[in-house]
Amino acid sequence: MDGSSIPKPRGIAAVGLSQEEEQKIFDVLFALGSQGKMQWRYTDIKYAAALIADTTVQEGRAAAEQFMLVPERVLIVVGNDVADLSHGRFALARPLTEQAIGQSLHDATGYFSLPGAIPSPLTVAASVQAAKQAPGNDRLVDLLHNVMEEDGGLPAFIFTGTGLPRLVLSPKAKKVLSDKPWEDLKSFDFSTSVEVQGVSVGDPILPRLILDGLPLHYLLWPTGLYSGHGQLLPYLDAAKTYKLSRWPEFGTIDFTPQFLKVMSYLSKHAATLSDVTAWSGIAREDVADLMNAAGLCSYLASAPSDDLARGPIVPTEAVQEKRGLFNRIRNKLGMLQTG
Amino acid sequence: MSEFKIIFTGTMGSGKTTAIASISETEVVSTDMGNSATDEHEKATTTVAMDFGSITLDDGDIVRLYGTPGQKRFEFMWGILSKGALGLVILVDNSRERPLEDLVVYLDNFAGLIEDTGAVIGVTCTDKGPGPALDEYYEVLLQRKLILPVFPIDARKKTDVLTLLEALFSYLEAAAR
Repeated sequence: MDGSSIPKPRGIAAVGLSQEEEQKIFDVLFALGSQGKMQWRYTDIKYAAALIADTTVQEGRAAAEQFMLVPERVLIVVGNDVADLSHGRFALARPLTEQAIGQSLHDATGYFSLPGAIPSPLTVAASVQAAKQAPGNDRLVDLLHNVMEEDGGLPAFIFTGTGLPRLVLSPKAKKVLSDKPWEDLKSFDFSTSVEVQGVSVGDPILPRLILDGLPLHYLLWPTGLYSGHGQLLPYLDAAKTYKLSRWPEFGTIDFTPQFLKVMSYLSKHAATLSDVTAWSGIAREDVADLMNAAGLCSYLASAPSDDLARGPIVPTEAVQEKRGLFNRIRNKLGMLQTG
Repeated sequence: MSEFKIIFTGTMGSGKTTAIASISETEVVSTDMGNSATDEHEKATTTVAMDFGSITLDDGDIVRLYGTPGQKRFEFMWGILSKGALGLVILVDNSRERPLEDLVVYLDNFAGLIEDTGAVIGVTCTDKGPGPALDEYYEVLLQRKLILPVFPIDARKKTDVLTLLEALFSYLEAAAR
């Protein structure tokens, strides 16, 4: 085997592990190296392509979140029973054994099957440009939708505009940071044009985004809700049927019984805007705004209709009866009637 | 005169008795005894059979509010109590050691009732130290292909309990279609 065929070792770092656990990793790396299988070398997290982290501790969780903002990296999660085992992430159970560590390194090596997976500067620039469409389509909602759909390998984006708090957000980490109180967003004119720029790896704003950022729906929900003014936004189609893939986080956003009604229907049935309007009795404009909000947050998914014959949707006798009972309970408990 | 029932379930100390008491118009009949399972929860008493509250509607119909005992050794009661129920409220104490696993226990044990009717999930004690974020509760539901609403609540607050009921009623109305 000549030198050109030996792969260059990649860096691997560890955060949140005990000294004993780190020593085991050293031992495995040494053993692999002595067998001519040196594909990994222990390094600082700044230079690492893989990270072994205990995400049940704050230090490990924060390091992991920031580390995975950069694409084409591997995270080996230690100690978290409900680890997100999506692409590029592997679980390593405790107590760590040399065999299990070796297997994780093998899996991580297998992940890096294609050279040059890191996006080139040209690709990055093109992604930022793609995030800003032709004039007239550079409202906050349009740009947000674009970066949520395709982040071009960038870890984060900065949004600025007249009357808009300076927003830093990461679609991958699902976090957003605002330089002003979130209340200020309520007075923002969502039809205003805004600017977006990409944030590079290593930017000092990234750690702060991870530690102090709020969940992304804090921004996405009101943006989706107030940008359409009663019309479906371009990312939704009035002719298509949609179903809720998960409920919105009503604990952190304002809601009314109307919201609950619309979301309840969409959680049970694949429906068009007209279907939901007909069944709920809520104004079409209000239903459209709610679907816009749910759509921008990725809570809505296009789904085939569950009606064999697509006729008009009207509340059945069964639902009228249920509504009657629940309205009587609502009345008794002083809850708002929903019609 | 018709009778209906809504089931409140969840771990010991999650606020079932408190939630029922906040909306019941009758004093809650509580079958409490001294808590011998202090390794599970430090509270002094725990429900050993069920809590019972009620609301009488204007036409005389009655809505019974049943709280199931939270300890696993009483899970034989869960199926008995849930027969014929309108729906289910699951309360999860977010400050417990493994609240997501607690949720799974109730989702699995009440799977039939959830399938037939519906459920809402109230997460209590979210202010008592770090616990899973709501996103993680939704992940658990997603793994089970369940699309149910999750709310952070304070079981002592009537408005929060009414929020759970409103979500449950909306869900049940949509299911009836």
